[in-house]
Amino acid sequence: MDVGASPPSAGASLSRSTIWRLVTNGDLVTPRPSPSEVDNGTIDLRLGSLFLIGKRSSVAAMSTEHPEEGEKLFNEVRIRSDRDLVLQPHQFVLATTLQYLALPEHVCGLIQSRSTIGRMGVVAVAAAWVAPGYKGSPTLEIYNAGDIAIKLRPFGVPFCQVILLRAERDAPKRSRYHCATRPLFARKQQHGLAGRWDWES
Amino acid sequence: MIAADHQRRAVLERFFNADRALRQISTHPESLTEGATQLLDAAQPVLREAATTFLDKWKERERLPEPERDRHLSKFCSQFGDVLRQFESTVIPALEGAEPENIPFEMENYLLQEVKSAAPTWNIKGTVLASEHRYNYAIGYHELSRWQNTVATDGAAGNVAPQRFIHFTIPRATRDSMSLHAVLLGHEIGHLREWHSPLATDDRFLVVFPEDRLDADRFTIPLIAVKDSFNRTSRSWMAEFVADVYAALLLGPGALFALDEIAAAVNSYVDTATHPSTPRRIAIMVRVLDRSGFLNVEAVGRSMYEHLLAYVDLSRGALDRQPEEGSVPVMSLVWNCLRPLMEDLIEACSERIGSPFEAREWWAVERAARLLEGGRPCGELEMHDHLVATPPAVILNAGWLIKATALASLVDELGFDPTLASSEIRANHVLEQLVLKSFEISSFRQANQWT
Repeated sequence: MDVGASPPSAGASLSRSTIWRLVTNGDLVTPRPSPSEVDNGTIDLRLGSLFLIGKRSSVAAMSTEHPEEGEKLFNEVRIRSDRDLVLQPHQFVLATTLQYLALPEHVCGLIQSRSTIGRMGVVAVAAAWVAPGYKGSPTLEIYNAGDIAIKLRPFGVPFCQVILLRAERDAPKRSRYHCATRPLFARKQQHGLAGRWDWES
Repeated sequence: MIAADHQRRAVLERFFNADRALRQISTHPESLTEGATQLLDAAQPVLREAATTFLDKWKERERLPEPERDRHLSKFCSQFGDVLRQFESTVIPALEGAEPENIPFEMENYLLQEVKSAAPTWNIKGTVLASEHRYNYAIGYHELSRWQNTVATDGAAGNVAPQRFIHFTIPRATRDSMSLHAVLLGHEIGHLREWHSPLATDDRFLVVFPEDRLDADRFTIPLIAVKDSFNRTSRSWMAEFVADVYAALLLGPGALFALDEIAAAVNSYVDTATHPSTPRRIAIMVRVLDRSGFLNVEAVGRSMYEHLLAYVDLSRGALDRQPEEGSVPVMSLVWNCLRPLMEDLIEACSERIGSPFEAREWWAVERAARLLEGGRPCGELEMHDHLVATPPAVILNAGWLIKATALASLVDELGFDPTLASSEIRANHVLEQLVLKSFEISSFRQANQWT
């Protein structure tokens, strides 16, 4: 049996050459990565310049039943590309990537930290799922699990990576975070991009 | 002595408050834009030096005998009060308005490039983009060195080298709007070009009050007052026309659409003492677009061509229409003097900057627009077998092309309900975010080239 001739199965990671072919055709990601940022099954991603940082508040707790109500407890902060965000020990922030993903319908992804970053104590994303056909700059959940402050540089060294897998899919379904370009707080479906305005009949 | 003492206390309080405001801004340097950082770095030492000088010179003057002491000290306080007023009315509002969440910081790199290109011989220390709550687009400049000279030598000219800052003001509410971006990169930069290399004072465009052709009896105010109004209005109108022509040359149709959208927001369809009416301005811009080849269906495609035709219709007759005004027809006088100069003005502006954006580049706009229509940014494009940073004019026109002709496709891409009125508005918001992301990616690609 010629393994090379059999169709790739769903769940198989894309090869480097397949990724590069898709990238040069304008798919998967923009800005186009450098060749060193593409490997078998993965593309490195850099941090963007916008962060959602929690602010001190008298609110006792956020509720998972109404996640959208927690949005007011976060400030959007922009960090210049030649400066650092200092992530204090045990601090949590939401960030986004410089890169904008545009996955074809037959490709899905998983975002994970790069091990270099992880070894410094930064937990960046717990296996965030990127659905087939997703477009946008994914929101990263970044937590400093260590006891030492860490400096994060926008547009700097690759911070995390997207693992690209083949997907089987029935029909496209748009995420409530579709076409996001900034870090987004949790949204309920009806308050997301697809919702109507309160005063609309 | 009492009056001067009170003034001294008031001046010191103002120094203290200004310094505190600057310190507050300096607590988050990692967020400040490059221009804001430069202004802050220049302003803080000037303010501190001013305060120190004020205290030192106050001590010297205290030894003067009465009554000269009180009179002299009062005047002395007033001089420093003027210095402080400039900080309070320009520097601090600029820095406070330059918070990144209130400005399209993604465009800063391109704005800086355009400023350098528009005023290449000026020693510009920094360019600050700031917002305010008022619906106002403006460009200004101020020189910190003027204050330093005042501070150092009690009003006489000093030897401090000029520290010139360019300051753009935008409305906070329209931070993400494509109109804003086009106005910044087109019209306001056009003003800067004119300041740097004036055309209005060129012999060809110098408008003289036609005193010898006027019957003073038909005016209800003295002719000298009419002349003053005429001079002010003609200078102001000429400046606006020059900026509009430069905008249309730099950005093509995007500049026209931006003008129309902003005019609708501020209801500027009538002539005023400072600005010609929007239809008049559109008519001039349509002339420029025609020269640049945009009024051609083969060049820009059927959808955009028909959209542009609507503006041709709007501007028909606009150049012949006299301004509506009261008993003193100053604006009519101005327009009758300016109108014959318009074609030459367009020619002169074109000679100055060439044709930076012409219809033959529209293919890039369409390629970028297809990306936006598909819910993707267009910050880099394959052009002539190379991946390049998409120029701002292409990004903006691609955004406008989608907004004007294909927003329904973006509604569909986003999965919004097309029957809801809010869907197009939400889609437009997403489009604006994609345009800003395109600027960010384009700047990144400009700074990072690899094959």
